[in-house]
Amino acid sequence: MSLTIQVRQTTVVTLAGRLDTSSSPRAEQALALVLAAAPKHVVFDLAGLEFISSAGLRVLLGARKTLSDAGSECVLVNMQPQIERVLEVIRSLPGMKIFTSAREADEYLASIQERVLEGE
Amino acid sequence: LDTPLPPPASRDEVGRLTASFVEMQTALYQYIETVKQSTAAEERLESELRVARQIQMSLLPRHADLAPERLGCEVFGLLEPARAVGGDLFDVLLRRPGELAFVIGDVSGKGIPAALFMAVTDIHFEAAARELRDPEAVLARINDALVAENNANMFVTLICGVLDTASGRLALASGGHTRPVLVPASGAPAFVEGDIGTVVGVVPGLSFQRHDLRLKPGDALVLYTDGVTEAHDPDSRLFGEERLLEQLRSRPGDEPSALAEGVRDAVRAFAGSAPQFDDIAMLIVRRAPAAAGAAVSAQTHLDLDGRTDELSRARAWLEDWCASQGIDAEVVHDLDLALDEVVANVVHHGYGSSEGGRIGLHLGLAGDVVRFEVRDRAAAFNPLEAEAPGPMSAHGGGGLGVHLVRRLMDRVEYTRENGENRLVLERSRSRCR
Repeated sequence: MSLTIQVRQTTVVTLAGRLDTSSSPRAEQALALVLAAAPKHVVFDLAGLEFISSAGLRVLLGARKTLSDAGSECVLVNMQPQIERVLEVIRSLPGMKIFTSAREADEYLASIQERVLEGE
Repeated sequence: LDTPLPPPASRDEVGRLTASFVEMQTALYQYIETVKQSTAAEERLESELRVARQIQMSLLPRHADLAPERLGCEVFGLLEPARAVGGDLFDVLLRRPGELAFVIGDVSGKGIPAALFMAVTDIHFEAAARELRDPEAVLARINDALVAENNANMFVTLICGVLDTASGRLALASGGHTRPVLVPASGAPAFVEGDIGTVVGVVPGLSFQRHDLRLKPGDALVLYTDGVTEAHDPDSRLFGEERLLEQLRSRPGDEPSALAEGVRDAVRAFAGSAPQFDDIAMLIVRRAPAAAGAAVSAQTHLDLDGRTDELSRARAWLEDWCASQGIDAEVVHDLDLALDEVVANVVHHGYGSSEGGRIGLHLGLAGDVVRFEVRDRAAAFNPLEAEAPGPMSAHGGGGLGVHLVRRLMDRVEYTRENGENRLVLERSRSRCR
């Protein structure tokens, strides 16, 4: 039974389309609703995300800060190559390690699963 | 003053004049408002000078007028009066496609009298250069016109040139002006030979000598006023011709804007704490370097209102053009990103809350390189100097976008010219990561 309860604590946010100057304010509002529920783990599924600019990155960075301040974690998964390329540029900046690579994300998810399976 | 002016429909003289008048109208409105409120004479003088400066600057060619794709060669002008207004001038006129007339000049004296004389000279140049083919004839016409109405014993030194941009044939005539420098695409810069001639506006019926030369692709002609060579340091030593040559020698292959600004910066550094004594003007005309010049194969332009909701229109324009040029998806993505970042920057930091700002976008292909240019008339703002992004700027700050643009483009350059911010971004179309 613990399995069911724990899995529900992982909130999956699917972002599809473009996260840019025009759409970021809307994304920020929508995310505020998610964050208000103080989720423990948030997975951003970016499979459908085609474009991200710094305005979009700031939304994700903001969400991540809110979560980490509350002791929660988030991870980005399923990035398309162009999104990965933009994040690669950002990762080289000091203090911007937050966007883990796909491999790290897999490991992270696996570790959650394990904890879950162990009935954490 | 309340009469609405027609929108400047063309880039010709009337268009420029209309644009100038629109600026004057705006400036005068502001001026009147200022005067209503201020009683102190000093304040009034200051605001008069400010208006005079705006009017003077509006006489100069607009940046859009100097676009290389319009002129068929690269032109950059720089004007820095020692006081609020000055007597130096430069002007450029595209007489017909492929034929460029230009002038640089230095009126005797400084300040308001010199500025008025400069304005009159410029008007005579425009009229004469439209009508007369040869630069020596243009100078003779200006001379006679100025002599006829000159009661103030002022004069002006001028160089007038006519360039055939296709062949590089260049004719020059000098009326007592400092010798220009030819900066060849390869080889050492040298002063242009020929008769320096007599100053303009004093002796009636003067004739001027013509000097013919040819600009090879990449060759640049550097014209300047003696505010450059006669700038002095705190010990009263002159900057001099040798230092000018040295500066130009140290910048092989630089674009005209970089050449001019390099010299200007060197003059400033040399002068140090000594106050700027004379007006400084420079005009650089460069024949396009062979490779890039031959290959500017496709270009497109779009004007936006300075609002972020214009971005979708801009993106459609950019993507259409890229598709027509067969540009790879990865490069299109990077240009898309640059568009989003740069326009957002201009809207948020440049125009701020003020309405009505325009943003000019230009895309061109030069050989392998996509060149993306963004121009706006907001207050001077160099986005490339934005604070470096880091953990301290909570969400990455404004510098995040600039960092992305810098990394995804191959070259970024900011210049401020004639009241315009200009950001040039270049991205190789074949480079993929």
